[in-house]
Amino acid sequence: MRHIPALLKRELAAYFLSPMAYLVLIGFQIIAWLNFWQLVQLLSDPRSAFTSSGLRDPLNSYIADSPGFWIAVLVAIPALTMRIFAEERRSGTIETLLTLPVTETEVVIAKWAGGVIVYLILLMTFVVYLPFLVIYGKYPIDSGPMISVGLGLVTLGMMFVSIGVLFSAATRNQIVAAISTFVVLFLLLLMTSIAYQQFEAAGNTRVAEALRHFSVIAQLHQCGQGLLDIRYLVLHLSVTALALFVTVKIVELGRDA
Amino acid sequence: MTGIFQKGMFWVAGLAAASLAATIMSLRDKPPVEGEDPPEGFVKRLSIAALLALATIIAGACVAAIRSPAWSAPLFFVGFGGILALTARNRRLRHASPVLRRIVDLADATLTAILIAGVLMLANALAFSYGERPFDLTSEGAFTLSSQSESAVRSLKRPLKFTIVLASANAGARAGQLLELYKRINPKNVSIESIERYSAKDRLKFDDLKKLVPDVATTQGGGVVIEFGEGKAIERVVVRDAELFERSDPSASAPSVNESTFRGEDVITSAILRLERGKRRNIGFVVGHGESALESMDPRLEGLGLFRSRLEVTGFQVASLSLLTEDVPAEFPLLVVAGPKKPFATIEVNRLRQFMLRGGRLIVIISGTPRAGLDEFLAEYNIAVDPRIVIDPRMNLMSNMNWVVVQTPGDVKHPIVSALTNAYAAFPIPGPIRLLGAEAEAGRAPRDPNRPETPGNPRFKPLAILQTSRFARSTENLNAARNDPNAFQSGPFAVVAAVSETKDPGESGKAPEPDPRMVVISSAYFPDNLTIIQSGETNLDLLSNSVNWLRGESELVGIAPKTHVSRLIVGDSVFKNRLVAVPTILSLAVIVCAGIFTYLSRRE
Repeated sequence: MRHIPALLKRELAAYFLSPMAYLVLIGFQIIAWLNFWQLVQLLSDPRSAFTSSGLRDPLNSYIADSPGFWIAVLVAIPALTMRIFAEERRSGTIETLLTLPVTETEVVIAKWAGGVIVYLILLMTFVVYLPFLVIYGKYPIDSGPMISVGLGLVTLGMMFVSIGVLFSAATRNQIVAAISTFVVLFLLLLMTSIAYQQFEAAGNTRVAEALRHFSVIAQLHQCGQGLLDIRYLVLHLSVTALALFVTVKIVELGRDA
Repeated sequence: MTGIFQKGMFWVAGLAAASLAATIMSLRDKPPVEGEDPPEGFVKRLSIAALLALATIIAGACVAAIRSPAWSAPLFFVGFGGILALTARNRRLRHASPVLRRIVDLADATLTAILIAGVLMLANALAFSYGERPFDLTSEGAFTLSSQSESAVRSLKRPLKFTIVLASANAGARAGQLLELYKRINPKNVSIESIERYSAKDRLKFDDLKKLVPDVATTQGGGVVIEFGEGKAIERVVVRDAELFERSDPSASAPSVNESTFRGEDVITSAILRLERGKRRNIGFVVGHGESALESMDPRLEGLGLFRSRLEVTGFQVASLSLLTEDVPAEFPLLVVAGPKKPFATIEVNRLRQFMLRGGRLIVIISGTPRAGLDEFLAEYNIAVDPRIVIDPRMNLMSNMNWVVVQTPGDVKHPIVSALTNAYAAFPIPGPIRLLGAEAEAGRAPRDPNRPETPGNPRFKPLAILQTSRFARSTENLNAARNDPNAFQSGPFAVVAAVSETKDPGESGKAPEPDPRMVVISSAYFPDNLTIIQSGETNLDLLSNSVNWLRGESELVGIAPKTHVSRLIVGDSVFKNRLVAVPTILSLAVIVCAGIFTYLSRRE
């Protein structure tokens, strides 16, 4: 694993030496600006005092319950991860990489870690508003929900990036990788939420509860309320571990071929 | 549900059997000879066996989540066992030929991935089943129950059902959140249901509930119906939203701060404990003098339904008593005289006297007029309610001077009023209370120079705990006084008084705490439904506190309430625009500068 830092540096350079990362960052920043503007409107409306969310869970209004945030994530993650392996395969640099004295595991972990770091930098575009809200806006935010939603977003990002890395390794075509990643994330985000609501409306609470466990929006909503459920973190890390393992196997088979 | 589960288990068992069969068939395949391609169908059978094993593991995870891990054990055994057997067999064959080696590597990778997926699924299924206690990181502990609540709910042996009555689709979230915590402690015995009382789809359900629990009609703003037990032994209690929350009005110094205190856990846990114990304390309402009906909930009509409902929520059994026909039974330690319109007969007064002599406690709610015939009785406790009407041209409700409004807690510190901070109690057509005896002599009570002092027993110490503003005036005849300003006396006037009985010092020489004996409220309509709704529940709180003070104990177990402070961003549109624009511009500038810097560095 000693080659991971060098490989990670190579990955980050590949991201930030191309204009793509800055375009994605600017796009994210615009979404964050719109989100924050909506939040400020909500927090300055006296009628918000009487709703169940709003003033009660401002972080949920800002992130988990914000369609803009999820659309941004759905678009950004596939855009970031589609080139990780697919581009290297297409350009032929993957052979050079795999002939180096590095293991497939090191390569996969370094590429995944690079994707996660870029994802965290994207999240900073949302975080940058919070100190201004607290200091300049004189609006204190409970630190507990901030910690739980932070942890939730980090593990969620790790899971999403690992899924993107998996599809990128499975295909030569970047577009196919991006679309596959988008579809899986879409299913995780929306279909689980819709299915959970359908079963709950039908009165099947046990199945609804099981589906709710997999609903990413419900998970992050709970984190935004200040509840840190370790099961969700375990779930995210499990999926991450499985996706990375399968990616390693795909790369190994590719090297043997 | 059982039928669906059985049908599902039938299919799952079939899947496990198919997986087992496929694994055995694959294992029985003739191993390929070195240098030759594997036999036809070898890869196909291997793939089918692997997929069926994976499907069995997934089915096991679903069964573990829906039913329990114990039910899923055989499925995991078949699934994992099959994969391990296939993996072990394939490893031995990898050197048979290059083609086979590739197939084996692929199969090995797939099977190992399936194995790891299975292990992770099992871990998640176990975590889902057994790890249901998330960490509550909120500063107010909004998702944490006290140990009292936990042990109260955990020890429940009979079913407990909460029905959340919602005033609208978006309401009831906080109460629902609390009740989910109860359910998590004891999912077997606790169930939760929601009904939107004003929606068409829940109309029938709400009407059925109203037939079982008439008090649910008081939940206009939402509430919770608690049902404990089953069959004929079921007991029900209604808790209104107003009893779950205390909301303080924004103060002048902090108009952007809205503090709401959620007392839901204390109220609901106390109600659960009382329902479980099954014991209720009796409180009697004296009837026979035109008092408002105890059962009436309609705020448009005279009624004491809201007061009665509050008493029942806090564990009292309310009964009507006629003192004309019987003495006060021994099992009634507390009586309420609530707004008589006709005077008491001599025999009734005597029975009241006997009741008080044997240690009873009394709440007297009467106006100056019409007279209730209790003057002599009250004088024995150093209290008089003069036959006058108090009006207040400044502190009144909806410009009606007869509806006097008094801000609580007032200047006097007393348990009945000290918790009612920044609230307003409404007194329709009140009379002035006069304190007799030593308190009047000491100048600690308003004195009427036209009325002689006839002090009662000096052991009874009255205290005026709520007074009107100094702008209040009183008169014997309001109509006559309109043309004669001299007919008015100036305030302030006492409208609530509490009487304690002092006791002789014991052997230690130290006098024990005075015994609460009586509370007098000088407005006959004070506990009426309409008055309570107009006062925003303060009247009800004052009445509850009076009951608690007289009984010497609280109805609540004392779980600390959770205060949530909601704030607003205060500022004009320029301020808000700046708040949004400054970080945006700074952040974009950093991104653009980083991009330009990178571009220039690459060029060099």
